Amino acid sequence: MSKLLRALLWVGIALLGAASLAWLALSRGETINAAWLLTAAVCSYLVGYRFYAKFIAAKVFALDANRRTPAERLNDGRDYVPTNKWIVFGHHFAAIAGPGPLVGPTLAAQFGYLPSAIWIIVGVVLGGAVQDFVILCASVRRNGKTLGQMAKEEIGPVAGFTALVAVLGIMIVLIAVLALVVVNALRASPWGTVTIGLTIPIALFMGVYLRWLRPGRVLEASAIGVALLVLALYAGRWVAADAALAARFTLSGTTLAWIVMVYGFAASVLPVWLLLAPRDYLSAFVKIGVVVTLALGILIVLPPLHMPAVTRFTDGTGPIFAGKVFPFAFITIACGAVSGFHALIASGTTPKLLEREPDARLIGYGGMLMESFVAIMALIAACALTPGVFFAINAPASALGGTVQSASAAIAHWGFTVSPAELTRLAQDVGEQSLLSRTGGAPSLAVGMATLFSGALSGGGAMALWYHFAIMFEALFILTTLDAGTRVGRFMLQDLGRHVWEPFGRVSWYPAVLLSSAIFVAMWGHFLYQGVIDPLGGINSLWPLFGISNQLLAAVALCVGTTVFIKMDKARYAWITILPLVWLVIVTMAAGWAKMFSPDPHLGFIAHARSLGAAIDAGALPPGVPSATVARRMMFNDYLDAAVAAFFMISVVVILADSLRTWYAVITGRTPAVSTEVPFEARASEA
Amino acid sequence: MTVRSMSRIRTSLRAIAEITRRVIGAPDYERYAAHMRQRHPGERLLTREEFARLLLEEKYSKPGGRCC
Repeated sequence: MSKLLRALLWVGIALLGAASLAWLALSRGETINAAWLLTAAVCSYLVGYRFYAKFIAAKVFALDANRRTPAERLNDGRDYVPTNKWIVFGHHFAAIAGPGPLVGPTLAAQFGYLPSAIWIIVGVVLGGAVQDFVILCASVRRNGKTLGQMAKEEIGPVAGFTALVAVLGIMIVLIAVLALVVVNALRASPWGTVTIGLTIPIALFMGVYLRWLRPGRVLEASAIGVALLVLALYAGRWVAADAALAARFTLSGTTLAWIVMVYGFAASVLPVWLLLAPRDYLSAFVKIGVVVTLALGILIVLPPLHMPAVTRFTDGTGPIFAGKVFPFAFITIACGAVSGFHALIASGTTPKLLEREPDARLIGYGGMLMESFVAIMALIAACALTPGVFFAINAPASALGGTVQSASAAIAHWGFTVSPAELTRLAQDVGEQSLLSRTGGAPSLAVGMATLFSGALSGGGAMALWYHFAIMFEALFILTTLDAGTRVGRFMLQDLGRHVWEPFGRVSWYPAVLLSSAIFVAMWGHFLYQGVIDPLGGINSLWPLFGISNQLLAAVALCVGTTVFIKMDKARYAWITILPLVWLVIVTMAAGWAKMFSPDPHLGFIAHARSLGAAIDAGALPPGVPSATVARRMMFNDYLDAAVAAFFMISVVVILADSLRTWYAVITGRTPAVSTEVPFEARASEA
Repeated sequence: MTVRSMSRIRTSLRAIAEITRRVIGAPDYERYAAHMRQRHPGERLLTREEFARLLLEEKYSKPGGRCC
């Protein structure tokens, strides 16, 4: 292709993307097709990848196909293995893709599709993908060092230690909120409970199969596992259809919370080969399968977006979570645009697999674009529902009342229409007793996906099967994060506790293993339990905390990235990481501040505790709070949540201050700009 | 179908299986064993079981394997 043609092609892509975005932003009053959103996203990704990522690769890191990578230099056939870039891409994507980008945009849809769409697209191109890419490159140049090690070595020990403790705090909040999403999806749903419950024996069977029956036959075991998953789906339907059995598997939120805690504990203490590893294989297949199916469903149906571009809830009165569009849209979407957690993966396994340096652009930047695309699809699935249905599923019981009539009335009051009969029929269609106030985003996404799939793939039928298929995969996603996370959290706790009491750190001494696992499960279990019994729905307090913590970790990663730039004498390009860093610091601080000090009891933790205190004194408890003891416990939890928010905010300040100190010292020349990269080593020329 | 095309299908199936295993992050004993034989012929080779256990234990003991 001639140079001119190519230039014209890129101008065309850029114009098409800009036009689609403009069309999304400017059309008001009529429903708009999802195709516009897809086009805007894909064109922006292409331009970002072709120009911005290439610019970073060339100007900052000068990625060089002729420079030996850690995989080549340290090849041990085990951790460091040079691997084809598409395989690393698949591996990296399977590791970063989780429930975050599915749940976040679903919840944020309460502001309308436009704020979320803009942040998912702009945030990823200028922030999230940059972060993943920069950390991957920095780690590749340092033999695959982790984010924590780099924070300590590049910025300083204070930042390093703060980052370590912050990661532990983040894991606790992350696991608690994800567990809450699962509990809310399975509450009073015998079909879902049975299907998800069966995935555990299926994983155990796969573990035994891989250990004793046919060692090492991972694909065989996975194929059997996937087939059994399909059976589990039907087994759930069979149970739900039988009144006596269904009653036995209709569990309350608190029961489910205890079960999830026991499961997390078991995953942390049982041998890895028995439960974690086989679940992970299953989940990888299901993950890739579902992302592909969702993309197919959306492309075939190209649904219209029924949600308005911007809803009235941008003023902070939204029922799903409190807070204005700034900063809470950004905090809520989190992973789909910028995810700090990815920095842990980009500095974990991935850098040890890279065959050639320039592959980092596809894997780091491209992998995150893919994740953002998943977030766009989740947004489409949420906004393709009629707003009435969307709010009926996602608003808490305190806002909707307990019946389809009260829900319909409340939703009408917000300016949307859905009749009681419609709500009843929809629940019947998907095989559930009720869909009201199934907060957490998973049921709403499942309804959206079921509508798409049944429209595209089964001619409008089989809604109930598709719904439970979607719930099953979401829960599988989440439980693999929960079980692996609990185990990792246990190890981190042991590593910290070892300084206090040496035997606590022995990773294969059973008393220490049991104790540390129990402590870690109790930590996230506490937040989970408080979320389950919270009359406001739990998601309202926990998801923003999760978002703040995730964006905080991204701020840490961007501080590390900026320090790396400055130390390699590329301070003139430091704006690349400083731009998203400044934005994230503003967003996390604003959100953290609002969650702590807002006078609105729906938003501010402290205000909520005070209003409960006043209610106790007045002897008039708010609806959903049975006794003064419960109210006092809720007050304690409010103060605890406020303390957690404060901890995250202080962490941001500490790391930022430590980074600024380092940058200032290097730029003024008081500390020499010494790069800690492994020196250049040319690849042996291949004969 | 000729013997040749059969064997070609078998080769490509094997390649797909290999790619899939590596994408989902299954321990790759064959690669490790080949590497050890070629680069460190004198050293003791871990058994398949030891290798799998070592890799899995490492994978689930530090953050960075899993995301939200």
